Amino acid sequence: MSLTQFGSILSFAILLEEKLEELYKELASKENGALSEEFSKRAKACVKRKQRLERSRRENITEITLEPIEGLDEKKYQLNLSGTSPQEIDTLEKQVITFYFDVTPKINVLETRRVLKRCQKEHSNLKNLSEEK
Amino acid sequence: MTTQLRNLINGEWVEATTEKFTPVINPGTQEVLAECPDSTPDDVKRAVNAASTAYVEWRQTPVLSRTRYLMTFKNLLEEHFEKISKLVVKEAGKTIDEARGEVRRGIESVEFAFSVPSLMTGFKVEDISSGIDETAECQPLGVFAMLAPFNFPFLVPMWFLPVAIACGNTMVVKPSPTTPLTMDYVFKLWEEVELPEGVVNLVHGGVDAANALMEHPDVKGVSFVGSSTVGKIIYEKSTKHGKRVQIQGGAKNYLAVMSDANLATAVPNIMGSFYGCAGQRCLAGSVVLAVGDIYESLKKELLTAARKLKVGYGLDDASQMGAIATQKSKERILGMIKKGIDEGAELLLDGRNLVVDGYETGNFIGPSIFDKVTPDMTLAQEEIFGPVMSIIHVPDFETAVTTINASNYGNAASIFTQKGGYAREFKYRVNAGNIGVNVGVAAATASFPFGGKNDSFFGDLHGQGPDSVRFYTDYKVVIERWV
Repeated sequence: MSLTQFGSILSFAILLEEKLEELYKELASKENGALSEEFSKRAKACVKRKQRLERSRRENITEITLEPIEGLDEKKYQLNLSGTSPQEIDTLEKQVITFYFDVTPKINVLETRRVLKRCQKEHSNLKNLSEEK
Repeated sequence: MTTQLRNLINGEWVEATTEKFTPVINPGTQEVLAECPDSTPDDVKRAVNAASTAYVEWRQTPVLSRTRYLMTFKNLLEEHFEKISKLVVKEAGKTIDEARGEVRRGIESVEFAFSVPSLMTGFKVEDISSGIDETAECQPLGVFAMLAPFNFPFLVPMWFLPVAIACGNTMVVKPSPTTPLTMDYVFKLWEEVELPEGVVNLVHGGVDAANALMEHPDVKGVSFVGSSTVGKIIYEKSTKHGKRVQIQGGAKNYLAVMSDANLATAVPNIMGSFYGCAGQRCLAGSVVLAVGDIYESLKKELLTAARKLKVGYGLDDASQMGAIATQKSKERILGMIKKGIDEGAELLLDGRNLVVDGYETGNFIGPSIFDKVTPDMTLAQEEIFGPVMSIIHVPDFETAVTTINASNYGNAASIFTQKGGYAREFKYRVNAGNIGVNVGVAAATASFPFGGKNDSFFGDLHGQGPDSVRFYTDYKVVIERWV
């Protein structure tokens, strides 16, 4: 999937959220107590964001201004999900924040930019797990 | 075994009374998706009779109830959004984003029909004469027919059908036999809406079915979108049979780029205009008028951008341009490119030999650009309906306007400029039904009439917007004296 179109960017974002959701679900089942709760909360938030992104892909596509998009390299945003240490999870989140930061200005639909900004904000507001421990 | 499509008549899926079928082919893969029946005049007669019978009660159904059915329909469309979009890709060849854009716009037309209760209110004047009141009541007319084109199998029927039935009419829709699957799917959703039987009917087919609809005495009006050549025939035939008609025909859309234009924003938009839907839409850009000294830099940027476009199968998210809908269309476009070369235009970018990996049999043509085109060339005059850009270098704004207004068509025209004076003059003087200012696809949205001039439109009332309510209703004037 190349990040060259309105839909492909949103589909990529949906995929990122799906991957994170799976990861957090798995971690929630492995951990106990507050950390498990934190991961469950994160997994639920991923589902919500995914739904929000799907809705925007469906409702905000604008045929009149459907233009090619340049300058985004998807390799930069591929998540490495093999590591699950707090530092590695924080790195993943930072990568997702960078993704949202980079793609938002490339989208020429205001409502979708708003959705992407909100996703970025939510990821940015997450606790830094490596600092917590 | 390949599925043979059936007609939906009076709430029942029935086989057409024919032995003739057209294969429905995925233009990206050549897979045969289904077979479309060539319905006969008898099939059409049954559908129109069902619609006529249904009209009696449907007209009496309160307008708010009628629009509530549409709300249920809209919710189903949202729920099935991705499935419908993918069907559009499979049968029409466009990219998934283009298909989603089409479905979204179609849903917007359904939403527009929610406003019919306030758009068909009529009007009244008390004491128009001493003790006399006069009222104009807005009434539906009966059965309407919709003949759809291949390139927007979802959107175009949605321009007409929701408003027609919200106004109290009933309808027979005949999709293009090239792309009938989307409407077939959508009519299955209509079944879930549980409209009274016969309010909406689907008849697949070609010329025979279209002729039968135009000739049937119970059909009060015909809405058509397609080529101007066919549109003119339909206009003449339908009016001869006493129908009201709206024909949205072909196009030759010019985009004038002034020397003050912001190329950073104009070029991506121009790409979308010329190569969106592989140029197979009546609002696609066809000719770039490079005005004055912007010519060289514009040409260079257009070439660079066009070379970068990724052509591919529509369901591949990375594809920025999809397939040509039919092999026949592809051959016609290739013929137009050859003609351009023969007439002396310079082919700067040749998309003829493009092969898409994994889809070698698909009907693909890459973005093509002709330079040194002159207004007398076929490239500048005839609709190509494919991913071919022609560049004409004109010295000034006046020549640009004169060149555009010399066209036989008048669907859309756009100007790219940062000067309000040019934009104002362009809007005022250019003879096209849809004008874009820094917008290359001047596509009227659901609440505005889809304009058209010259051979791009035949009729009086346009599709979409308040015009559509007027098309599907008639005023009855009541003059009363009670004192």
